[in-house]
Amino acid sequence: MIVVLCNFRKDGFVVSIIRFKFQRKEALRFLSHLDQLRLFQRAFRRANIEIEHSHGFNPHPKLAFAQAMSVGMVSDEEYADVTVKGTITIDEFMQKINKALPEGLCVIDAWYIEKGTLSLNASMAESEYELNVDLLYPIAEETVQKAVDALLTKQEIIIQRRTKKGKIKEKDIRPFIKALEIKKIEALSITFRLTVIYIEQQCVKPMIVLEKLNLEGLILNPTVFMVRTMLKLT
Amino acid sequence: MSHLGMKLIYPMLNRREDTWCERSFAPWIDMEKQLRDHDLPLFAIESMTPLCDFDFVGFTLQYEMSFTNIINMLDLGKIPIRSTDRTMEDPIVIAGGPCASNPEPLADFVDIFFIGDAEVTLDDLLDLYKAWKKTKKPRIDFLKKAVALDGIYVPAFYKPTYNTDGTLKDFQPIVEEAPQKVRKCFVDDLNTAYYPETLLVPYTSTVHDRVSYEIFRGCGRGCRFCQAGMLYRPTREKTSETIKNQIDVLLKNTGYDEISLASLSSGDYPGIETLIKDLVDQYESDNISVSLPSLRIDSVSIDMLEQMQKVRKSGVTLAPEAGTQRLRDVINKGVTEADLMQTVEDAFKKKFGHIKLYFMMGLPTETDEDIAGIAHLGHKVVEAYFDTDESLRNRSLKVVLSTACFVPKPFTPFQWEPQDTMDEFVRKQKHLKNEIKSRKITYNWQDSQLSYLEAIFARGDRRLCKLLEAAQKAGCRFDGWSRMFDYDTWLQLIEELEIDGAFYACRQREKEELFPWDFIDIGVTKEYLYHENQKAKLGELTPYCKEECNDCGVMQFQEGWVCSEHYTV
Repeated sequence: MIVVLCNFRKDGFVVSIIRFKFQRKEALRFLSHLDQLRLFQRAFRRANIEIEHSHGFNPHPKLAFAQAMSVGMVSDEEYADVTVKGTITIDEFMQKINKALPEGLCVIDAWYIEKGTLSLNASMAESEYELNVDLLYPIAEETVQKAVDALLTKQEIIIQRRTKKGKIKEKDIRPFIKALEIKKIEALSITFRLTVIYIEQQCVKPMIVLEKLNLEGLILNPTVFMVRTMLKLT
Repeated sequence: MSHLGMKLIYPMLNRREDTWCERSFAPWIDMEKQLRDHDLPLFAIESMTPLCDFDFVGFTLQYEMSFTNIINMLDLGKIPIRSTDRTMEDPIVIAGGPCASNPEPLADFVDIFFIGDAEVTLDDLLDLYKAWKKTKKPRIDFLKKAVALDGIYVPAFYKPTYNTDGTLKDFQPIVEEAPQKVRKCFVDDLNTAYYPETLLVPYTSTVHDRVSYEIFRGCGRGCRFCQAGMLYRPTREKTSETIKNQIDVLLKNTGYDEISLASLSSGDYPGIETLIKDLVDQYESDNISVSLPSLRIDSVSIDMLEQMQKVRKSGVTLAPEAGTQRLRDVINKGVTEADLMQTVEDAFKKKFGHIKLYFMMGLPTETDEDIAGIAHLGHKVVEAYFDTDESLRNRSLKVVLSTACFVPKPFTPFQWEPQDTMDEFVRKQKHLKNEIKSRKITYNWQDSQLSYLEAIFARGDRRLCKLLEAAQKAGCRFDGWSRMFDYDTWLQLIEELEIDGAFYACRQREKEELFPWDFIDIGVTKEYLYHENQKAKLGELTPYCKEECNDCGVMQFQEGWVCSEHYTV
C-alpha cells in the first residue's frame, strides 16, 4: 500500500511536506551552509521534484535545514524539511533526489509530516559528535582524562560571547554538555566523543567545549576533524 | 568558472572516448605560497594530476592583464616557461580566445594558438596528435602537421625583422609547412554545431552562476572601438527553436534557476522580445528568471526589462560610451541622446531607481567638451527622475557614471590610433569630476596605469615576451586585480629592459605600417578597417550590416558564404 500524505494550499493545490534525513561525507565537507542550500535546490530541480516557493516579493524555496552545518563537518545524520508540490511517494522521492545529488550527499530516510508539525529547529534534542584532534606532542591518557573530569565536574562553565549588537554577554554552557569521553588515543591524535543536548533551541559548539578543556598540546585550529554521528529529534 | 568558452570546450573534449579533460585555475597568492613552500606542482581539479603530466595544457586568453598568470601557472605546473625548453616529456601548450588575435606577446611561451572558433579544428588537432604520439617523433613533427589545419598558428615557425625605428619590417614563416597567412576558423552553422547538454555546476557561487546561453555569434553593428565586433564576424544566429530546445535541456540537467542570453549584443537578436516572452512564460511558474547581459540603448525596451525582472528586480545599466553625439558618431555607436533619455524615462516610470552609465575616456578626437558631455548626460538623467511623477517613481535615486580608459585594439578601425597618456587620463578624470554637480551622481573611474599596460600588450610584439617573463619572476600576478597590480615593478622592468612603452601604447601609426598581427586573416580586411578609421575622423556613420552590406571582406573570406543567409532581419 502506498500512503501519500497531502496538505492543501489555500488555493486548493496539493502540497506534501517531507522530512528527510541525509548524510554528508568527506567529499563535500567544505560546503558552506548557503552552498549546500543552493546545491539541494538545484538537485531538486534536476530530480524534477517541484518545490513550493514562498509567495513574497522575492520567492524562495520552502526548504529548511535543522541546523546550519559547520564548514568541514562530516555528518551521518542531518535533517531537512521540504515542501513539495503535488504528490510523490517516499520511494520515488528518495530515488529521484539521490540520483540528482552529487557524490558526498545522500538521503537515507524520508517521511511525510503534517502541516503544523514542530519545526526541525525546535525539535532538536540531542547531538553526538566524534572530534578527532591532532596533538603537538604525545599526551598521556590520564592527563587527558583528568582534564575531561575537571571540566565535567564544574557546576557552570561560563563563556563570553559577543551579541549581534556588539555587547559582550555571558553564557553558561555546562547544561548543554551531556557527556564527553575519550574514544581513542594515539601517538599524535585523540578522538573525543561528545554528546550535547538542546535546551530552548540553544546549544554549544563542539569547538568551544574543546577550548574549555584547557588541555595544552591540542591543535584546535585548523585540524579538528568533526563528525556528527547522531542527531536526535524529540 | 564563469567563462562560456571553457564550458563549451570542456564537455566537447570529454565527449571523446579517447580524451580526458580537466580544469585548473590560477591559484590565489596564498595557495601559490603553499604550493611553492611544499614544492607541490599546480594540479588539475578533477584528479589532482600535475599540469606537467598532461598531453596538452590550454589557456583561454580573455584579457591582456592575465598574461603573467599564464606564465606563472606554467611555472607552478612544472612546465618549462619557454616553448624552446620543452621536451618530449612536456605538454603541448595551447591557447585561444579573443587575445589570440594578437598572440605575439605570448609567442615564446605558447606552442600552438587557435585563431577563431576552436570548435572547428579541435577534434582534428587531437586526431593528429594521437597519430603523431604513436610515431614517437620529435615535437616539431607534430607542430608541422598541426599548421596544415586552418586557424592554427605556431609562433616558433615565424621570424620577424624590424626597421631601425622599431616598427615591424617583415614577418615570414621559416618552415615550408607554415602558411604565409593564418586564416581564422569560424563555425558556419551554430544550429548544427556542437553545444553541450550540461554544464559544470559549481558548489560555491561564481560570477555568472547561471545557464549562460549563446544565442548568436558575431555582431554587425560596427562600433569602431570594438574588437569582438570585427573578430567574430560574420554574424551567425541560432534559430529560436534551437535556443529553446537547448536551454530546456541545460536547465533540466543543471538545475539552475536563471538563464542569461549571451552574445555581443543580445538586444539585436531578431524577435528578442518574443523569445524572452516565450521563455518567461514557459519558466516563470518554475521560478526561473531570464536575463540579458548586454543591451544597446536603442534595442532595449523597458517593457522587456520588466518582463525579465518579473522574478527578481535590479537596476538598469546602459552604455552610451561617449558623452556627445559628435563622439558617438566617431565611434559609430549610433545611439542618440533621445534614445537614452527615452529609455531612462521609461525606467523611472517602472520604479527603477538605479541607473548605471558606462563611458570610455580617451577615444580618438575626444575634447574637453566631450568629457563635459558625460556629466551633462548624468545631469539630464537626474532631471528626468525628478520630472517623473512622484507616485510612479522609485523613492530613491542613484546614478552611477563610470569611465574606462580607451585601449586601442588590433583588428579595429582604431588600431592605428595612440592611447591618451596617463597624465591626460588623470586630467580628464579630474575635469569630469569637476563638471559633476549633482549629489545623486556617483563617479567611478578606471585606473589609467593598468590601461596603459593593457595597451602595450594589446598591440605588442614578441619583443615583449622578456618583459612578461621578468614580471612573473618579479612577482607580478593577477594584474587585473587592483589590490595585486604593482605598477612600480612593471615600470621598473620596462626601464631595465629598455622597452619604450609609449612606442606601443601612445604612438600614432602610419597607414602603411606592418602590424605584428597582420599575418592573421580574420576575414575583415585591413583596407576596410582603414576606411572606417577615415570615416571616424569625419564623423561619418556606417550602417548596421543587416541594413546594408559595407563590404568588410568577410563575404569574400570563405567561398560561397552569404552573410544574409545566416541571420534574419
